[in-house]
Amino acid sequence: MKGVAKRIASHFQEEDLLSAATGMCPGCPAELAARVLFKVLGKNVITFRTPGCQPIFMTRLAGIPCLMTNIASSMTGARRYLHKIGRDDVTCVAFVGDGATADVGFQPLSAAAARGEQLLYICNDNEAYMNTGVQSSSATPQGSWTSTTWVGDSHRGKGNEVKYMPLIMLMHGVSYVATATMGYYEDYVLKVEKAKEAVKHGMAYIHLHTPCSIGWRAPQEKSIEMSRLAVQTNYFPLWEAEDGKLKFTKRIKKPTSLNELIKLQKRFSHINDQELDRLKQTIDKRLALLENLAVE
Amino acid sequence: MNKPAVETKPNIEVCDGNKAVAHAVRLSRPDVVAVYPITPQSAVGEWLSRWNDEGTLNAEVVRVEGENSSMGVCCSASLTGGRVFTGTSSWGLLFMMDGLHYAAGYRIPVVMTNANRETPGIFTIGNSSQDMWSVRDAGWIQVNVEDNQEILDAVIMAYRIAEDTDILLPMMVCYDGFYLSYRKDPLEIPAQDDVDAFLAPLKQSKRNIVTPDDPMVFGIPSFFPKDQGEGCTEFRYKHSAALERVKDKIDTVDKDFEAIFGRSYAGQIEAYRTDDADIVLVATGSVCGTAKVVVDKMRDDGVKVGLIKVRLLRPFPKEKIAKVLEGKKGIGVIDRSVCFGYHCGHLYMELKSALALEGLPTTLPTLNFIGGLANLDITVEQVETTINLTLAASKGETVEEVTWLSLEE
Repeated sequence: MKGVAKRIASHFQEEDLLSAATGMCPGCPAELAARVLFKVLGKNVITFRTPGCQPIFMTRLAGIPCLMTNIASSMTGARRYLHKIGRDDVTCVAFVGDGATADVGFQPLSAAAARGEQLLYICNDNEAYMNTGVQSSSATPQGSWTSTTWVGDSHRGKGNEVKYMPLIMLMHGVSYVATATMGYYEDYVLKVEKAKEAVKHGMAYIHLHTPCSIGWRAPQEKSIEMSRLAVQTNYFPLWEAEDGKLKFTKRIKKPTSLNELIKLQKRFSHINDQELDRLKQTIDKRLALLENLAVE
Repeated sequence: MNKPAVETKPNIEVCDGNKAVAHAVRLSRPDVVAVYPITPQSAVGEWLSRWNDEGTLNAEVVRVEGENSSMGVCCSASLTGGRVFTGTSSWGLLFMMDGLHYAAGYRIPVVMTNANRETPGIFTIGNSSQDMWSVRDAGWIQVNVEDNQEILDAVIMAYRIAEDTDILLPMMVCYDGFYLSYRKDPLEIPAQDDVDAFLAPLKQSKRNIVTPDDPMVFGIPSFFPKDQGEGCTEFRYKHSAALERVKDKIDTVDKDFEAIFGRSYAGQIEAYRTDDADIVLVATGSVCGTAKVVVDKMRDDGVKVGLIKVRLLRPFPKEKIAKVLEGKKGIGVIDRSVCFGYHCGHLYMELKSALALEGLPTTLPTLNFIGGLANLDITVEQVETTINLTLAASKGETVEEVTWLSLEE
């Protein structure tokens, strides 16, 4: 091994800063993501978390438990004080669910991004409020069953499209935005490396897609496979933007049929051809938008 | 306007209540300040931002997007070791309600001011005490002050109380919005050296902070329900006990303050002409100024009346109040807010609880007067009415327990 591959591999020699045992569900890719995250970031961090599926509850690192409503502001307070006392070496990092990111904590996140706060923010997007029992969030995909979007005569799962956070963050003019998944862990590691550097100049935001076997009603052993399929179907395109320049980090030349991803998930078991087509249109529309914005 | 010079001796300046807050905060040398505008206290953030931009305040000023974020900024900056400040009012105070409980629950010594104002629901822009009483169960230390000099002095004292390792609790200095926030008085602005000397004892206090150099997580370190429950019980008990310690602490800090600055506010409560009084008014905030004038006037007319000005709202100074009221013949409580569910004012409900808990006779005539809502003045005539009715009740006449002043049905 040499070059980038050697560097990526070298991270895995680092100390695992998560507890050996965690309270995460079997097959949860968020736990893996957090282990890898701190192998790259190291110990010189303050971690921020909210109630929810947060594997960084189980670290041996300095940490502040936050409210879902203002975690980005809480990070700001610590980051600003550390700056004042000359501790710009410390990285303030959050690992936060899609609900606290896209819904209840969105306003402070948006404001912190607009202020250019030097924060590393990772959104653990499992596409609903999984920890509280699979309630719909604005990151829940169209047509999906959740415990607040049922399938029946008057409604058939969630009605609205996903609120696509990565592009919203890009439009805030932050230093670095990336989408990532543990299905492509080398890509994830490189993005964490870049975020670690970018956070010295402003906010770095990584939108991490984490299939949830409980909420998606999918087999535990399929989470990495689903992570890969999400990318290969263009359901979750992998890209990054450094200083606003968007580029794909994984181009899908021959997309896999969306049905391959959907059929693994019982939350979509009711879906008919028309509904699948509508979801496909949403995905195509998003991909077209990203392609229009991409510089390469 | 000129930059405020770095004072080596006290300086007289005509200030409104908001600028009094800003001066106190500047002199207390905060590390991180969160600002967000809300009437009637927006000038607090304007002054602090301006002084920071001009270089006379050396803080990180975060211009947040809402009050809930103000509290987030302050809490984490304090948890990592900083001295912090934010100011708010009414709608803003309620918008940070989760943050208020968070700050108190984690024992974070945030110092905050609240310009008292009516709460949302009726679209009023005016003073009342509805907001400050609404958050009384969040676990904060709360004081409510009478005038602008007291605002300035109370904010400086708040750092000595909140950051004291005997206490470690957030502290809210409340002052009547509109009446004090916009009223201008000549104030004595303390010398920086004196404030530094007054706050110097805090430098010896060592509290636990979050730092990567010695990793630690705040919170109950278990997800097992029994451990959580027992951990929470212990935390809550210690929190409540710390609040009780505030009573003596505020009296001590007041004396320390007097030794340096020559001004005293008598700590938990100020008993005004109560020693030989037959009847006593109980009030809090700016109305105490009016009440003192009326007490003096009625004393001249031979009425033996006094006043308790309640400064400390949380913890509630029930022992001190009961001691003053022992043996009195009638009590009249003036409220600027409504305690829904009891159909009376908040201070009245607090006082009735205090009297019962301290074992004063339940037959003692106590009356409640609700007035001054949404910027209505509590006038000299109205205070005279409260005294006359309390006097009548003390003589055994039948008087309505709760009187809503200015109510036209």
